[in-house]
Amino acid sequence: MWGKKWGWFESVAIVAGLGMVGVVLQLSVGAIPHNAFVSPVNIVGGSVLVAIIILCFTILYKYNKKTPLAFFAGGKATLSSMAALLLVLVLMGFTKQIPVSMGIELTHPIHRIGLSHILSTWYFLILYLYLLFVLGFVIINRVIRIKANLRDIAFVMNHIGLFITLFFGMLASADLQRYRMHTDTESDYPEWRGIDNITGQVVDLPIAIDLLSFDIDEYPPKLMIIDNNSGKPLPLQRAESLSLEAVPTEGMIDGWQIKVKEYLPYSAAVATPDSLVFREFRSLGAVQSAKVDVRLNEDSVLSGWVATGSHIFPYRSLKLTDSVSLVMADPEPKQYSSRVVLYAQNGDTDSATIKVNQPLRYKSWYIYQLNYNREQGRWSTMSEFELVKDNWLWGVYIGFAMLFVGAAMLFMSPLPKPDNEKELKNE
Amino acid sequence: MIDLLPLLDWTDFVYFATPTFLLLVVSVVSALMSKRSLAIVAGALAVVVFAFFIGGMWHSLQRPPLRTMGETRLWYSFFVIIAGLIVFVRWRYKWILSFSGLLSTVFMIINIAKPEIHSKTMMPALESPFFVPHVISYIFAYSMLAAALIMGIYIIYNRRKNSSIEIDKMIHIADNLVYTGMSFLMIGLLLGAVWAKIAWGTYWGWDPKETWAAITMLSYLLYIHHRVYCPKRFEVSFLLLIISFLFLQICWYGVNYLPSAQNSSIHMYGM
Repeated sequence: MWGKKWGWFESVAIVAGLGMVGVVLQLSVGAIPHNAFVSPVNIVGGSVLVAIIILCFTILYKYNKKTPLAFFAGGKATLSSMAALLLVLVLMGFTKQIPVSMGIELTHPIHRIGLSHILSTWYFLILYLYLLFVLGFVIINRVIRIKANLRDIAFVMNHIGLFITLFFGMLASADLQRYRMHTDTESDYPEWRGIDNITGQVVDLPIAIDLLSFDIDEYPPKLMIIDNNSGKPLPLQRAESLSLEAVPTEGMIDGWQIKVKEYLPYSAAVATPDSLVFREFRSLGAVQSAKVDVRLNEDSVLSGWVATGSHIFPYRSLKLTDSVSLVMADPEPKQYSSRVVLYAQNGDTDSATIKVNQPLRYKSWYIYQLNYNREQGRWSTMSEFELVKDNWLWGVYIGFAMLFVGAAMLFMSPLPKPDNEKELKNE
Repeated sequence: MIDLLPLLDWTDFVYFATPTFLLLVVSVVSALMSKRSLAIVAGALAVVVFAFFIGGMWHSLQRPPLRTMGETRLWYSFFVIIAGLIVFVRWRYKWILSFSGLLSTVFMIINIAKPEIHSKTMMPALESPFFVPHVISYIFAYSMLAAALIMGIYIIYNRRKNSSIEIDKMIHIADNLVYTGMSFLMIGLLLGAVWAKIAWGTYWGWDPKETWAAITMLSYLLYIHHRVYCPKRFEVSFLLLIISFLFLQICWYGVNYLPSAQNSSIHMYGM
């Protein structure tokens, strides 16, 4: 061992040793706090890593230390570094993960050794860095003798792309800032305070948002039959429903024949001398309602109104028997959006409509539509945003682009055929 | 524009699955009887019939049928037939159609026996141009990697016969299938990452489904690198192929049942 040629023993010894160092650090120092590598620590650390890779390679190359050079740029180091990280990830996949701030407080051995917050453990970090180290060696070793053919270009794209992605992803994970912000149309001034997602502290942000309006686009509501006691939709096995896309309509739910005669998307209940009916009402708290006929048996039909509720008006159901009722389920949102004006600290302003899947970008900030007041539904005056700042996104995206090209090349350029292909054809 | 596609419902599936199955049988039998053209034509027709159903579903749901587990199984059946045909056309392996046909039929039967709720609603985060290419890349990769596994099993089974030339050629096919599967896994993952950045703030959040996607990816990479560095030891590579495939199953639907992932994944399929 450790002789002229390093093999499986050496490769396993190295990853096991690194893993052990990680475990010992974990048990003695504890988990890595989420802000331990905040810039500039991550920049210095990242530069040191790249410098170490280049320096080690140069020294080994110059002084012709063939054994370690061939090892770190070779198959056994590659396979063992990947397998070690894979093992840690599988542990992570099978263990419930909790935030590191919570895990640090707990004393059960599972938490002390970091299994419940593997991403913040020393052994994960060390094995991740070792993978980057070996990947760096493999890349340099190939690049110094590169040829301009398809396979070498695919190699460069895939390997350098992966290195860049993992490298900047690591830097970003230390610096990523995420805040939630509540805004209200009824507020008199823009909101600039955000709640830090990790620490839960309220912070003044360099961006302020004024919410002009909030809108929800909803799917047509559905009628359902529910069990009066449990409130569960029927049939229990697979709930059925009737969508009010085009009215009048009719259909069966759990064996009941239902005819929808009228549908009012904006309405309110009006009491008449003998019953309660719904009439069009286009103002705050309006509910959706429908007039239905339900066939109870051969010769009797029950007629009545069902309606969704709002934060102002109660919902209305139609009791069919002592045990079941017809109800109108709350419509599901299709899209929701906020019209906002953004003010930056330096005087910049911007106005935009922020939707789910359509964030507003300002420099390295992205502002996302996150939530609204679910109780008020379409009458919500509150809109919640998430503000995310990622200084290293550009780096990760360069890696992504290279990996994308690399993946396409992998697919377009199939592996060379085995040497005996010709013999096969002659068979 | 003339509406070419009918409005199809899940209950119509059996009327499409049956002819697809019959065409697959014709295709498989023709392949085994060395009637190559007939096998390809029948297989291609099966794809067309199946595509027609998917198109009709898409049309009537007014959204891509990619949201529920049952809907992804539909695409899986579809792509497995295509993967089998590609291998058959390129490498002339008669029996691959039997395996891909069988696998596709199993998934069709599951979908007939256990249809799931297919409502039209789609949560706002899914309203994105990334949705369709992301899921299709993944399901296509899954079918390719299933074909690679079938190939691997066949290779190990045939090792006893000691016909080394055939074995080399078959391993070559398995490798190509893994490379193709891997490139689509990567494309699906990257599309998903960029979409995630647009939809909810970060390209990678170590959500259980993402963790298992990383595990699957790393595991197949291990297979690829093991094949490069240890070409003579296919048994070990084969073991990695099986393990990778198991990881893939956890990533695809296993996370739904993993205790460690309960209530914490945002990528759950509508069940």
